[in-house]
Amino acid sequence: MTSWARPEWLHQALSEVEGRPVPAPDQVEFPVRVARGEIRAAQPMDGEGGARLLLVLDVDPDHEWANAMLLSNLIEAATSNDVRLDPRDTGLRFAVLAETDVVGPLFVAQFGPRLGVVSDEDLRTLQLVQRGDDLEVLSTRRGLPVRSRRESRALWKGLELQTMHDLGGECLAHVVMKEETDPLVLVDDALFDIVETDAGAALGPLLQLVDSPNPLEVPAEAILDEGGELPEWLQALNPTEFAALEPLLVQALRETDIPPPAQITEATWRPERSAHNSSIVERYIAARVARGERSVRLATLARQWEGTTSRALKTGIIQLRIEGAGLVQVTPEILEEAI
Amino acid sequence: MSLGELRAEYEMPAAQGGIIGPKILNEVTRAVGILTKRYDPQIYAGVADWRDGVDDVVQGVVTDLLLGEGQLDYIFGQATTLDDFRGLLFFQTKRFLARGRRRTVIDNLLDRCKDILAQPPFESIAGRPIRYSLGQDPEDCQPSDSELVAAATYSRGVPRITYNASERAPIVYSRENLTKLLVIVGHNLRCPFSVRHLHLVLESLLTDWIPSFLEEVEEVPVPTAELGPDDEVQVNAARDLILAELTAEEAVILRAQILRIPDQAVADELETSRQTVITRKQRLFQRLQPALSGLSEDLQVRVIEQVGMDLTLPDQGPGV
Repeated sequence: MTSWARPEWLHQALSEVEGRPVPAPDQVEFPVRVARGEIRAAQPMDGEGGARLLLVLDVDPDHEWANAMLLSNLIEAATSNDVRLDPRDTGLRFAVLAETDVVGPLFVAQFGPRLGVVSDEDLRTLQLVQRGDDLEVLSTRRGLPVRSRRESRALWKGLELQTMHDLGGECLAHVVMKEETDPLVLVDDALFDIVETDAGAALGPLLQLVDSPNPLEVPAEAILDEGGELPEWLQALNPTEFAALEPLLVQALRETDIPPPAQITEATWRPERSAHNSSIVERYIAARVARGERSVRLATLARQWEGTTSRALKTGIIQLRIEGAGLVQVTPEILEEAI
Repeated sequence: MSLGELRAEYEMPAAQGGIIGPKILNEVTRAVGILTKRYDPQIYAGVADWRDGVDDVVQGVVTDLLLGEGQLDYIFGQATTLDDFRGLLFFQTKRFLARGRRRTVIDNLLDRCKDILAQPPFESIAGRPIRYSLGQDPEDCQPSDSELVAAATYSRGVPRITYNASERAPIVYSRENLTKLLVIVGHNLRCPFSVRHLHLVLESLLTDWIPSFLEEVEEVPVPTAELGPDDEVQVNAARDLILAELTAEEAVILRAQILRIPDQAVADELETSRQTVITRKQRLFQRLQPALSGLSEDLQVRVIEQVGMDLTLPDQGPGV
């Protein structure tokens, strides 16, 4: 780019621009955490459709999902349910509409980097508008009510609701199901990778698993790997230790309802997974996705993850993108190595 | 071209040719070139040929929206593919065209308002700017923001003339209805008002008209049917029947329903509970149902529009 001459009008306009560029939806650091009041872009789990900006209203206590309100830049279309938030209210460089009637749950793994923030007081006021009883609240920042279903704004609202459904539908299903079932925790096969560790360090995390209150899914391949040193390691355990681990080994040998695929095209972990040759965990997660699950709990070790800390993993979310299947939220359950 | 290349340009400091450089400007020019082909240059740019108008649109999209309103950040904050980027940029271009047309429509309406306001029942108060009064004390006060919102809310019952996508300057309101609208506005403001205040009311009132433009740009057909004489007789008969049977309290409830005013606000006005309002509303609708039965959905909407306007105009309306 050497010969391009910037037009004078553009030169003038750019001289008034301040601030830093906005990061892309996927430029977020994992493990990710979100908080009430934050504005972030979010992507659909299945990878179909684009990202949208949302305002986080609440985060569930387990930090798996957040309730969020859709934001739009179509300020000209404001209805009485939409509140205009100006740059001074958010820290963004553009005005947005907070659509108080378009709200839904999203997995934390769907969110991009924080772009702005709304004060607690403004959040409370938005929730007053959401209740819908008082047109006086923020009246000068809201539009007029929609008059009929034939009005173009009603059509636009319908599309916005569909967008929210596309973004949050899978999380909503997860939230509903979560209340009915205990989460099935997938066990990282790296826990059985004895080659790189000493016997004492391997035993502690496995014994913690035996005591887990949740049902476990232990990949059979993790203990049937003929090339590994697991059989030898198991033989070296004393009878008490072996007896303690036995339920875990039995669990691994049970047949699963849907066997994991033999291979998957491509999987990208964020944060990156440290060097580990097998793709067993990815394949078991792909099987979960095939069953309609988008959120998986994974019992794992902090050292399996690059560039992060045990503390960040205990409170944050890992993202897995599987080619052809989309995003999966992985909630790490970090096992202590030194007991 | 890839999204990565565009982002790299956007992230580069302006002094080094970044934020908007040749690649992004080329994308804007491309979007404007594709979109403007669909529209009449006379209507959207006031020129006979788009070759004389495209540069202005490109410049307007960049300076007014992408930089002036920070929409470039909005685009880069959401785009994950080149298609996303282009879709969001197309939207900004449509938005720029739609805004230009809205300005024309509102300016035309304001010109017609000035003509109406120069005659009774309105009074002109000399000064800069000229202010208009509908019996308000011409003291030096300004309508508040909430009064302007109320004026827009209560003016919504005034029927509009449906428009055709190819109309250069849709008039939106007949002269008779524009007069009624000004009476409603004047009635809701405690102070004399200027054209600037009217502009704010019209901008708010026409909010629901703006997305129509955006759809129009996407070539969604817009209904243009007018009432025939027979339809008009049926609509008037139904309207008269409804109005004849209303008590004062029911009139407040029905007006609120037509203008989509929340039940709680009605309860406050009538000094009763929200539940009471809901119960009375249900009874009222049951009673009014026969007046609307037998009419098509279109005609029912017209009846409701007319009832809404009759209930919104002040009782002592000066013969409008």
